[in-house]
Amino acid sequence: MSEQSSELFQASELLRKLFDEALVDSNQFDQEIVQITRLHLDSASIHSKAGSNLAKDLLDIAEKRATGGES
Amino acid sequence: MTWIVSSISISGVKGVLNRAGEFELGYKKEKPVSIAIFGPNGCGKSGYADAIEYMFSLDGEVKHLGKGGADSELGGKHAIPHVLAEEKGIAPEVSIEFINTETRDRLFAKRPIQTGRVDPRPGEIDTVLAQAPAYNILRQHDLRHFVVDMSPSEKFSEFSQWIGIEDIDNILTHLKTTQNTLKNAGLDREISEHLDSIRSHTLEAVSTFDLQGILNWCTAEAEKHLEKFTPQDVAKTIPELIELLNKRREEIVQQSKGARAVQTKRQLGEKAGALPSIIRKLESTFSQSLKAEQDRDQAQSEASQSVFREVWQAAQDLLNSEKPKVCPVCQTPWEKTKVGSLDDACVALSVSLDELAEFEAVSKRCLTERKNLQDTLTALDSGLLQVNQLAETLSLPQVVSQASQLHTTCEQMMKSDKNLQELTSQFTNFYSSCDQFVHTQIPQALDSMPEEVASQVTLPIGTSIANLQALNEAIQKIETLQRREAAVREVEQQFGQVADEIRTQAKALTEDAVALLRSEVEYIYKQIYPDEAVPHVHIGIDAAKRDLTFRVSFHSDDRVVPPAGYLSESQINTLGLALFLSAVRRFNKTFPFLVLDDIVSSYDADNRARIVDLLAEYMQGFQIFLTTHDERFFTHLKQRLQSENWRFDRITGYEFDLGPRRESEIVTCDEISRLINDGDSQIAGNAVRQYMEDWFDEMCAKYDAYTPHKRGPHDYQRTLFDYWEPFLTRVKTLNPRFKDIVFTSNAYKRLSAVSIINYYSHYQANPYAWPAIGDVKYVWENFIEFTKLFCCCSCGKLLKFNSDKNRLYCICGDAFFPPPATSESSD
Repeated sequence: MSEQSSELFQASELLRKLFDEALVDSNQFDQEIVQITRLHLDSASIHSKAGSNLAKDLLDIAEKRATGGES
Repeated sequence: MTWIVSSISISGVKGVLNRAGEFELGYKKEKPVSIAIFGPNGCGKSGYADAIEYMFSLDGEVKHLGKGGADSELGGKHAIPHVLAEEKGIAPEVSIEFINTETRDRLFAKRPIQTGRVDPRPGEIDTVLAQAPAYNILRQHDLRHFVVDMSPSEKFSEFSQWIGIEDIDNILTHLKTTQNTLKNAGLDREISEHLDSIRSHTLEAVSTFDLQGILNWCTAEAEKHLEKFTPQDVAKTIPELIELLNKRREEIVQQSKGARAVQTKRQLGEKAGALPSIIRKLESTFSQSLKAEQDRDQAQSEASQSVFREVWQAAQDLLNSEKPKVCPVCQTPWEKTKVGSLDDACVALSVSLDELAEFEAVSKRCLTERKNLQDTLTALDSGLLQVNQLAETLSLPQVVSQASQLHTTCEQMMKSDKNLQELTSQFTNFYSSCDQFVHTQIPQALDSMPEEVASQVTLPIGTSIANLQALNEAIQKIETLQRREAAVREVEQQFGQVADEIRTQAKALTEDAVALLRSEVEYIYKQIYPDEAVPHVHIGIDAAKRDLTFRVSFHSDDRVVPPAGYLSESQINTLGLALFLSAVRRFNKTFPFLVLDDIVSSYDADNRARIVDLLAEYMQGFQIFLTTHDERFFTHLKQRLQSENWRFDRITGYEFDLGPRRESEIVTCDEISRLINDGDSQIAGNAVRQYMEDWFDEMCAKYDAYTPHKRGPHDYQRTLFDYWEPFLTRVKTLNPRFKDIVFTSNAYKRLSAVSIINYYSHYQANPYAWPAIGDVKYVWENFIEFTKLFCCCSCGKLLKFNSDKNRLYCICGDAFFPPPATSESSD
């Protein structure tokens, strides 16, 4: 097996490709949500409560959108 | 770039204290050196694996211990340091030196054992693991646990770790948490509460969020109170209806008797509220007046002899101007008067005149204070009269009576010409009564007034207004909640698209990994079970669901079954072992290091032998740190891999306050001589036996002597006799001269004359039992003499063998056989 094969299974590489390529299509994905997701999940050390924290931020976005505030 | 472990140092970790924790590995002949350690149960073997696992783990976790606290049944991180480490001043730590086989660069990583949360992994480890993501520590109990016991999601997490994608598993877990949180962030419960409010405030007439229905109910409710106009004509919304009802209520309040009562009650409350300050003022002014009166009386008393002020003034003028020798009034000589002299008489007159002046001032202040008192009494009397009148209006007889009584007393005091001193008692009683009247009697009377007096007319309208306000509020709340709910669902749906994309990519990646491993898993399985039909292994992985399932099929892929129901314990373990080894082999080539901790417990002897072959062949080039409590497995591993880059150590004892005692399995001649001198026949005898086995094993391989140990199925049953016969048979086929030298030697005769070679072998009931140290010495000396027959007589080096030409030779090129008795010198 080559070193490239190992690299294939790196989470950081997978996420980089996702956030830099697959998820940048603004017609298909809400970019505000993509960015907030990246903020929580695309880092060297992910917070142990990243899932809950991301949900809170998403609910904040929903709240701002519901009240007509800038989000 | 390939990293290997150069050395490992463990101290103060689990059962390892300050000895037997050093391992020199490195590489030899461009290959990494592996190590196998044999030791009985409870001698600290697993402590090595735990220490290494701790070193490599991200946050100092040893999986089978977990992160439990001090009370954890498992032990947790706090169980990692040796119990006596602190007491003995030994810092619990693990250190590993790595060496790069290409650049010869070295990395040194040290990790102190931390039992707290903050426990970062050394950066050097990150460097080494950067391109070797697969998990590299395997224990026996992990295998069955992985294949059978774990749930699909647990398997997925474990497998993610094995193939080095635990970060992705982590992210998938977070995605699920986020989506669950969003899903449960629904506002249905709050909306339901407000619907209950609507149902309650419409008296069960409306039970759904029906805006028109609610408005119709509110209009009908308003119509009950609005006489002059029809609400439909003027009000289109609930707030408008509320406004109409408020106006109507105000109108009724203005017109109703009840409303006047309310007003009067309010006025009485206000008047009563003003009286306490007047009462306090009364108390104050009375005190001041009384004081002024007392001062006046005192001054008057002191000036009692000075009432004839003008006369005394004239007398003073006379005395100052004429200086008479006798008193002008009584014609008494001055020396016989009370004052005693003319001068003293003048002084007395002056003092008296001052007293008269003081009296005048005090009298004036007394009048002023008395007027203040009178004014205060007048104000209080006025207030009491007003209270009296209002109480009469409200039909509060007790208040009327008391107010009237206090009014009478007040008037009496105003009209009284008595000294205040005489009125003190009356005043005290009066303002005490006033105080009680305003603070107790009036409030009680007001509180006891029937509520209907104030609200009986407007109460139904008020109830309707309250209902309409509650309905209006509920509608607004529900509309707000519905907007928020819609926004949350929109965000949830949009996040779902992002999450699905991440899962799709992760799914593809994990499926790729499984596809890469599947054929290797079956290959490994076949190596361990060569005579059986190899089941087709189905590894079902679904990253989207974080599921991993194992299924096997034997004849047709149409019928897949769970391994636990159809495979034996060892077969199940083999599946786990195959997956682990294939993942390490495939993904960790840049750091080919793995730890195998007692992995063969469930295998029989044949399968253990095949696992040895697997390690020797399939894992060739990998650096293995292996521990086992199975001596046969260990021995076989040694026989199979001794000529390779393997080290073999044996744990020969364990003391709690010292740790394991470890000895190298490579026995030297000097070591054996020392052991024989020590006199322990068991230890020395086993060392001799081991040396002999190793020597014959090597020589059989060198001379192409056929022995069962070459891939035979029962290698672990070999004895010294198994080497002895094939080796000598081979020797007989070599040079006749050499054959004669060997077979006529005294050493050969002694060794073969007795069954000593065979006796002290594995095949005996107790192969390690030696009768006496003298026997050991006898065998050892003869064996050494025997081995010298195979060395060059010129240079002393071991003779080499050319299998193609079937001849012996020595690299020194000189004659290597001993001088013959005849003229023949060499082949």
